Amino acid sequence: MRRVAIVAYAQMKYTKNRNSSREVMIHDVAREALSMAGISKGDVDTVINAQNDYFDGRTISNMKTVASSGAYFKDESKIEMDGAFAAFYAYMRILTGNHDVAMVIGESMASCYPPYLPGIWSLDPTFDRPNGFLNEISAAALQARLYMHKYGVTEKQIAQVAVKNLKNANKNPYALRKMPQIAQKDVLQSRLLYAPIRELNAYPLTDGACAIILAEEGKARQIAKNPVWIAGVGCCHDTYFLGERELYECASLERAAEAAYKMAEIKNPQKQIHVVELHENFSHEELIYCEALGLCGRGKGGQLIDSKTTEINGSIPVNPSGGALSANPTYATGLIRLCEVAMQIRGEAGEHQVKHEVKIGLAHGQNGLCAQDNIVFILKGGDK
Amino acid sequence: MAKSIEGDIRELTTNIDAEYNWSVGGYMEKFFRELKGKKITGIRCPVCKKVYVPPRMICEYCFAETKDWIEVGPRGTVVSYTYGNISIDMEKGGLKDREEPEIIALIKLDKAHSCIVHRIKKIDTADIKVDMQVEVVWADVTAGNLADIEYFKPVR
Repeated sequence: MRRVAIVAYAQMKYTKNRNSSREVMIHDVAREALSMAGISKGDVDTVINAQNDYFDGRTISNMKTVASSGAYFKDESKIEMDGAFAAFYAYMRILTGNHDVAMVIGESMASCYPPYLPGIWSLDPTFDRPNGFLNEISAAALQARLYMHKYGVTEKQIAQVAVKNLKNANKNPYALRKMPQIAQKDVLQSRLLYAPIRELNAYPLTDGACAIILAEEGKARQIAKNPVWIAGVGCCHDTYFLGERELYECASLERAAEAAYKMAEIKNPQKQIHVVELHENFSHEELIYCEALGLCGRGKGGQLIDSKTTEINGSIPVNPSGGALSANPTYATGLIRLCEVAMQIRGEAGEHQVKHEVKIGLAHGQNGLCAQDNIVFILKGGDK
Repeated sequence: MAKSIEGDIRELTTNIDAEYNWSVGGYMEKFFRELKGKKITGIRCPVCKKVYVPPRMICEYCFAETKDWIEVGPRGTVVSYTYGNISIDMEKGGLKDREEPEIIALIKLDKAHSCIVHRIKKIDTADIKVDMQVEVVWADVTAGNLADIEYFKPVR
């Protein structure tokens, strides 16, 4: 099988209102990624965009972004899911041997679309949508309460996840939500949305885009002196119906991780993985995801955050970038996780670079209510 | 790197307004018809015996066609709950404050395996608990639609 690496990436300063067209935003990250790679548009064989028609207010929204993503007269495609799934699509295209170099771009602008409504429009039109009780926040709240009840996890422990991540965000130049003095009480006193979820447990509405360039081994070695290899990937989808899932766990993430670990020969994730970037829209999710990834035992998420293991100076830093609680341009968010792990492996994360050596990292993407779909990438630096 | 155009740029507001006529399918049609007679119906998978509410044609675990109709509820158990001081603005998106918090729960109806999401009334937010028993309160006049289940209330 061909080996494929991330050879370049680009992020932008995430913002509440980018105050530009979507095309300018996409163009900026596409150009910057090409510039980092030292290649031109002509060297890219295929472009995969992650976009959502309901976010963009236009059906088949990628028709208009062919120009800005550098896809003119190329084999372009789109995935209506998080950008991490777009990276998976691009990876598979390279594996076929038909393409050698792929550009992947994820983006959205919450300042343009009616926030939270696209999530409601994803609900079953014959039951949950007309009933009007479910939305992404109320669903997350039902999950958080169930998780707390099942394992005795406290609101303070869940608040601590937000504190950890938002502290990390202060060191990330791209982060939107920066709160240098943040403490547990700030989270616990922030605006109550749906109990127990408060404003600072939830992601901020964000405008943003992210791009990465993938290349097969030969091209990757020409382009980058430090390619970051895709060593494993796994992807799994759970049932659409929230009422059928055991919401205190994330079974589809567990299976996605199992597949990625097998491919990357990860036997002991707690020992072998040096950094983790998770796509959590709400702070309690981080604990559920850590359990699903085997970074702690089942029901031990509360103890994990107490142990400080997942802090930026801990043995398995989780979200040194600040994660999605610090910036969440939906559909770019999972792709940003890949980008951040690549930065950590290459030692290019600047102030939020973790202190220990990072050879292997895990990047996670998801979409759907309470993460119906999950994808896990294991990335590796060095020659192997 | 390309230099972006900065500064205040004019925004246009456009609207996409479209009505869809969904076929609810034979299974949901029966579910709605039974609501008129104040019955909540679920359907059982012949392989794993799980009972789904609302009913669906395929048990995705077994990939089998579900067959046996059974009446579920009207009582059930609160699996999880939340109460919102906010709701989503269904016109413009975003959050808006509520005057009264709304209690929303994941409810496992008696004899069902899946949960439904519905609201609970007649209880203070401080008193609601996981595992508490609740029961359906029907609309005075049922019409064979979702509004027939008005809310759930605690079993006293």
